[in-house]
Amino acid sequence: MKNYLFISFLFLLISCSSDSDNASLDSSETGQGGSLARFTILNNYLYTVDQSNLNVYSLINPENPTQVNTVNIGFDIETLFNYKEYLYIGSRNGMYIYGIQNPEVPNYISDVQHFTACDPVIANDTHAFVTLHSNTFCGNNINVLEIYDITNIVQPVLISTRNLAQPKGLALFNNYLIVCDDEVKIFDITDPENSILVNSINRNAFDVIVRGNLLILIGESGLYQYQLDQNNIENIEHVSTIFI
Amino acid sequence: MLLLIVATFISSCIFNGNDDDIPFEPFQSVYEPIKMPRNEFENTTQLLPPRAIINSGKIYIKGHLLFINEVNEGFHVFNNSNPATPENIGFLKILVSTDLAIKNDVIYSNNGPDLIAIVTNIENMTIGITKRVVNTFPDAMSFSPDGFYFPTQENDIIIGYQLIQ
Repeated sequence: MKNYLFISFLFLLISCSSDSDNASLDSSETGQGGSLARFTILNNYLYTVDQSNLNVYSLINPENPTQVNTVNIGFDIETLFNYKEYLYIGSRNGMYIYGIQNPEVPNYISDVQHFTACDPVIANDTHAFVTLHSNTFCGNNINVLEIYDITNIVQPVLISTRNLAQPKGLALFNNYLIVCDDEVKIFDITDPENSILVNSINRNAFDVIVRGNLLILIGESGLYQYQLDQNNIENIEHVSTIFI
Repeated sequence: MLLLIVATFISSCIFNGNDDDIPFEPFQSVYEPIKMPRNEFENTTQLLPPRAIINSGKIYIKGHLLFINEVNEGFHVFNNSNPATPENIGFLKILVSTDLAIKNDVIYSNNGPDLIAIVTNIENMTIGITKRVVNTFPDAMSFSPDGFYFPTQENDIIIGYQLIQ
């Protein structure tokens, strides 16, 4: 009986979530993942990546997703990020950009190749941000943040490379880039060619979600939530920790 | 002379980092796959009472719900309506899962080689899989921890690896 109660509770929470209080920040009916995600939903389509393929599923009948396409991308695909009508795909060899103007038929736009390393990617209107980290599993000794100018999406241009300790997940908060490194580092990217380290949070995390002013970090030892202040990046308030 | 320099440079690249103490490359995995018949595998997804997080994976947020992946086992579900006091409310057991995405009230997740769509049904108070796209991620668990390839088989789903005794 107790099970039934919390199942109904879960159902209620899910049903209520689309009319949540911060509707402006959570405008879609879709949830939000971190930069390491392999799944993303845009409108009526679910996109997923596995080691080598990008799959497209129609959600026109949401309870009955139907695979409508599969596109071979390359090897060692790791992450998938959607911004507007583009998909940014991180692999151990590079970043691929696909257009989804025709949502069922992703078309290759461009790619950049780099040394073998693990790399999530995120993007905004003008730039793509890639972290490369390597360890025994990934091979080379490369740990950097790369920033690409994607104003011309068919030809991304590397404009900045910055050495870090072992960067993993990353997220944007207005003109700030938040990177999970040996600690969580916050860069002012107003001038992306010259990112400036402006603050840090002493936590060990591998991925991050920014949702409105809420920063959620996940690491091996905990899930940490912080309140950010868009007017003062120095002002970061710890909200809670779930110890793992 | 230039050639010599180039040759030295190349060889230093090739051998750099390969001077480990491993005397030989093993020709077969020291692991063996743990398999489950498909008909059994397809009945393993369920909503369970909350449990402790052990091996944390990716996170996902939808409305007030926060999902934390327990790598390859499922998702811890937290009520995060007050981020100061997130409440662990259940565990969505999905074997061999790493990712999920939610649109409205339908949850999509990888379940081994399959994609599943899950809805919670208030009338019979259960969760139900409304769709299973079979074998859409064919190589989901095809590589052992030491990198050997075990091809996916139609009716034997690989749910993990164990050291060969």
